[in-house]
Amino acid sequence: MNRDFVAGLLGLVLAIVYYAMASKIQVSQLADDVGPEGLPKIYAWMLGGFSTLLMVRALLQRAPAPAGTAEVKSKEATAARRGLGMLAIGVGYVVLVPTLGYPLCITLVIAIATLYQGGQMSLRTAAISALGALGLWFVFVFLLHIGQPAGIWPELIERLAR
Amino acid sequence: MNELMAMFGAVVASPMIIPAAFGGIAWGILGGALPGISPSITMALLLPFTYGADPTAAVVLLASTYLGAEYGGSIPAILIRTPGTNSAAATVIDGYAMKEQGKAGEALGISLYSTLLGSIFGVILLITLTQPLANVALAFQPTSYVGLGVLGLSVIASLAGESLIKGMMAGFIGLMIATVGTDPVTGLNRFTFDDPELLSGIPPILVMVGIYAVAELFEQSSQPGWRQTNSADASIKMPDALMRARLRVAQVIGAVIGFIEGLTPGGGGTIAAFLSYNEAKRWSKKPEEFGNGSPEGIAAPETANGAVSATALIPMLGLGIPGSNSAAVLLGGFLIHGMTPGPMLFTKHYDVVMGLYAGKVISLFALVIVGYLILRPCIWLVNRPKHYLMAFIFALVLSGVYAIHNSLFHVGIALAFGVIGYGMKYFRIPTLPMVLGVVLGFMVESNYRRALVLSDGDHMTFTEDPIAATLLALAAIFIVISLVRHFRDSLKSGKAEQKAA
Amino acid sequence: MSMRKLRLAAGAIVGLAVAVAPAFAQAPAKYPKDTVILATHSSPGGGSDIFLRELLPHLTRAMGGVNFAVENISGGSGAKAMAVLAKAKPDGGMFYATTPTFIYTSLLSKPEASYKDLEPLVNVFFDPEVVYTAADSKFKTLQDVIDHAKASRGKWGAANPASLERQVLEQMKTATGVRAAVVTFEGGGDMLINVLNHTLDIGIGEMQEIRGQMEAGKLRVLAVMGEKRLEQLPEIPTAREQGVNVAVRKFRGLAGPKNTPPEVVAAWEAGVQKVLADPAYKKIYMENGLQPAFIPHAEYVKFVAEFGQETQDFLKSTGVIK
Repeated sequence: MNRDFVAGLLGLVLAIVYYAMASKIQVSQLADDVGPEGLPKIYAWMLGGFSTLLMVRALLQRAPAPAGTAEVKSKEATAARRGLGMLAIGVGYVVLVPTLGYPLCITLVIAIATLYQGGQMSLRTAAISALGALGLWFVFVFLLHIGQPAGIWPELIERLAR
Repeated sequence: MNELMAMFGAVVASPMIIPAAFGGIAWGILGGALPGISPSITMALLLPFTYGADPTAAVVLLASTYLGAEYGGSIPAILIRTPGTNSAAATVIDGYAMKEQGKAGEALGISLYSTLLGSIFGVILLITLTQPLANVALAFQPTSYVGLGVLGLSVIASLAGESLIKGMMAGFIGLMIATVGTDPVTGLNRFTFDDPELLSGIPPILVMVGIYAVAELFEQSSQPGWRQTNSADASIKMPDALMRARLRVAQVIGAVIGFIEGLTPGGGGTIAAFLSYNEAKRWSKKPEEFGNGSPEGIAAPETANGAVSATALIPMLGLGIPGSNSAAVLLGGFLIHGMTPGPMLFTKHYDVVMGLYAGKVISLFALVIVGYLILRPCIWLVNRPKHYLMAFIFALVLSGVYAIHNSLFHVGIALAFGVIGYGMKYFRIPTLPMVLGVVLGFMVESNYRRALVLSDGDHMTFTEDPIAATLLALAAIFIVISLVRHFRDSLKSGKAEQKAA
Repeated sequence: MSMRKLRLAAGAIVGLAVAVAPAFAQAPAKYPKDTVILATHSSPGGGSDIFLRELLPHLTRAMGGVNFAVENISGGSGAKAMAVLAKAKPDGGMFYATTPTFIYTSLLSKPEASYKDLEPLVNVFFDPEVVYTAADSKFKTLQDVIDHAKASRGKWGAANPASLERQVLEQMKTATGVRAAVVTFEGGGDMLINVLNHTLDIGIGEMQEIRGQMEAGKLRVLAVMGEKRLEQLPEIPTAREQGVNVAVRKFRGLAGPKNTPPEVVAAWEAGVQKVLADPAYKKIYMENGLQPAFIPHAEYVKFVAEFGQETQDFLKSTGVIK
């Protein structure tokens, strides 16, 4: 399987799914001649067309695989896995922050990402994570008044105080 | 001359203008440099505090914040591939490439110098010609915006790099992303899955932060050495005479496009930045350097950003019509002090307008001083060890993206675009066409359909509007030229390329 | 949380400073809360935000020294603000500044909480919609516009695609049976340009949006799309007077969580009437083109329900929603 072929295939799938969604847009009497689905359908056709073209070209070229493919491939697979780790940290943050709150979660993001990128598990890392989180909190929450999620803590403290 | 005297008088009458201009620049740079905190949010955060303040100082504070934020966005764009603002996203491309080549200090210097030149140009027009120029905005009809948008998109034909096909795919995916949200004609929801968070569409900044910053984090995770700017580069280098000469054409393009975009509502800074990037490449003597660290690729969009931050005030003051979100916040600043911008503002509140002009001039000095001083600590920050740097960029992105609408859903979207950006790199699909589609898609679609509603479906309406006709003709010429060039190149290389094209 | 506290503190300080002098003038039944948050979905500087901020100092006086703080809950065109309000305690501590937007958002998408999950409190103003044209256009009355549309084809502009303004124009088209293109934009300013440059015959919008141009004599107001003429523009007839049977009421009021206690309601009913009569505040809202329109709680609940039903009918009949 050629990489361009896969890209074309993905583009074609996207075009078909998008087209299907566009044709489900309901009919409105307020609509113009073009309609809310007009341009989206054209976009889908164009994307589908170019994707097919890319696939055809990939099949026609059939370039012999460059030497050392296995090695390159395994290298790329490792790279992708490392990237996935960062993604996991981000997803974990989105999932946990409503409960654990911004200050704690952002500290954890800094600490875990630092370790993941090859930092040392040390007091220094912990201190930098905590100070960094405090800095971000200061800028975003204190200075800029962004309502970052507080988590369950305020409610918990309120309940304990009672 | 009278105006100069009046401006001077305004400074004497309310000396608070001076600290307001400096404070606004500093605050703006901070907000602009944080991804997700747009110039308009940065300004809006100040608005409640301007209540009790002197009205002149209040509007100067807001206007200076605007300029500061437009400049601030370029700093993380160059240093950490994270556009701080929408309009800094065009700067990412060549700014970060220069940083990668160890020329961060030079890139930052070009950015500061270009923003300054652009805003000097804009401020001069603002002070001398606001009232006549405000009427230029009236020349723009829905058809004209279509022309502007299509000209911007036409560059995909030449930008697409190694494969035109892939560039076209990316461009159409970008246009598709721009269709998410409320339909501009019927008000129907399209591709929103009934989620109210998607009603107003996917904010372009999420796409840009995702495919530039987050994807780069994923990418860098697998690379052994995050290239640090070497210590010799820790100093900022302002462009020398040779460089200044080289930047001139790009800056003129940026200034003119920024000026036009500032005047036209619905245009806005992002479109100006990308259009001037495109045109600078088209007219450059070294177009092949664009994307690989061309100084002109920084100069053009940054000049445009500087110009927009001043000329966007022209329709706001002269017509009472804000051309961008940021100008709308400034309009709010006038309204809460009981002043209504519009043609009568110049007679009813002449002193405030003159004070604002004086403040804009002072803010240019503030930009040079604060803008220069801020760079040293920024460069220090990005020279920290790689693992800390990456962790902090990630934390910054997660915090900033949330701030647009206090939405974790948006954080998720930015992460998703990180994956998409990573995938595009893997499949060697250029990202710029997609960003252009996202930035221009809504403007093109809504105005195209609006124009047809007005003309009762007659496409000839585009030829009747001279602005639209000119821009569309230009776009057609450019597309033909680049297609011919592509075809010739592929013939030369004698590969199977032409079979597909 | 910490942010809200901070903001409350800031609001309280401002409120106090304003309130200190006249606060003890009279002491009716004390309001159960010292500080009340008024939420809006518009960001600072937006329509509802300015409305609230101008109202607050005067309201503090009228409500016997209660402190008010504005909280901007932007996002999802009001969906977020509605969700927060629906979950708030019904103790009079938090209300939401409503405009027809919250009804449109409820109907057009599926927000977590809709307008039906909130309880309208009282109405404060109507934001009159006016139809206007460029001062140098050939249209002198609404009838001219209709005649032109009948003879050839009208070009009418509304600021947003799914909005009350759009609805008014569509109703006008139906009521008169003329041919007109209703063109929608991304905001009032965008549309105003197209009225000024004669791309459009007429535009419709709130007085606040066109004040600058009106003062400069660049626009001519043709009709008021309400039930009666405006105090600010006594010479401009309503659409009905000109034979076009369309009238709308764009409301500006407050809504809160369900089961708001009666003493809170009573305090607001008294307070809002008082603030509307306050001469200092009257000067401000008259300049902004607002029409005082107090509606007591019991009627307002019905009013909003009816408005919601009408809007739903319109959106359904035109096929915008199912």
